[in-house]
Amino acid sequence: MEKKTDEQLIHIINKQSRKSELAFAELMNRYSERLYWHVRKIVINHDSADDVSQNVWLKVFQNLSSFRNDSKFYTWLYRIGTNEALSHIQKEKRNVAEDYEVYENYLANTLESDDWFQGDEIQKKLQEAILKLPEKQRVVFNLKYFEEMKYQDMAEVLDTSVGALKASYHHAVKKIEELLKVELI
Amino acid sequence: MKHPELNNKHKKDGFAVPEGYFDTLKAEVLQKTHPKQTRIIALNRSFMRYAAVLLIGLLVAGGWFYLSNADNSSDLYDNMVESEIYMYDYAMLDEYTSSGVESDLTNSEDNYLINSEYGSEILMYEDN
Repeated sequence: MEKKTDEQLIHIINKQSRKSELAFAELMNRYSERLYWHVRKIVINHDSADDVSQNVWLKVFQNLSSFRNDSKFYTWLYRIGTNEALSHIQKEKRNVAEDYEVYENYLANTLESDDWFQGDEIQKKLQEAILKLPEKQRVVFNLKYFEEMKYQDMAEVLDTSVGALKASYHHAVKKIEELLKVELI
Repeated sequence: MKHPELNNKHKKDGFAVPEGYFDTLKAEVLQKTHPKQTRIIALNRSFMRYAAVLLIGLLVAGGWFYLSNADNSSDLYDNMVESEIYMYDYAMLDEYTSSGVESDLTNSEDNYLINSEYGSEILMYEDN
């Protein structure tokens, strides 16, 4: 059977026919893992990433009829995912503000205690260094370094110019290199 | 990246998920977006009419079946009455024969009966 494009699947879902569930399941097959890992690197903890991912897919389903094919589906999906993950962090910041002076310490602690972080020592040091970046710079670094997303697509996801993204990534790399030098010497 | 620790072999981020997690995630989301609903069949008027006729038919057939299998005392009574009438007829026939009551049939009717297939039978009104 010929593989349908994202746009064709969205058209089927919006018709609300018998096949709409299958089409939505196919969209999830294509993107749920990528979306989860993107969200996970922002919120760090698995349970939080699970909650945020589910919310993102529900929002996608509810708003799919308003999706215009001006942008790619996956950049639209990443945009919703990024916004949901960042607002999850804002809520969490308010809840843990009394216990942690600096939120990044809370995230580092979460990484330490998370059963579902199984990285080696260098991976852990790298994640801790990334956590010291400002949130939006952290997102830029993750999208470019781990997911190797094109700057043009990143610009659609983050609603920022390509030039600004390049500069942001450059600064992020510099900071992480310095942090790792200190940590690994 | 210039730093030796940030080369490609460390691009794995070290995060993991429980086994089968993505299947569970998909199932949970689909359960919320496409809940399985019980099908409701609308009953229109003609359907209700057919259903009523079918129900009445079933009741009549069931009643007939029940009564035909039940101990039927009226059949027994009919059999007893028929038997009694037969006994009465036989007694009357015997009485006529023994008392030699004359036949009301004419001679020509007698001849016809004698020559017909009934001739071989013993006729109660035959002259002794």
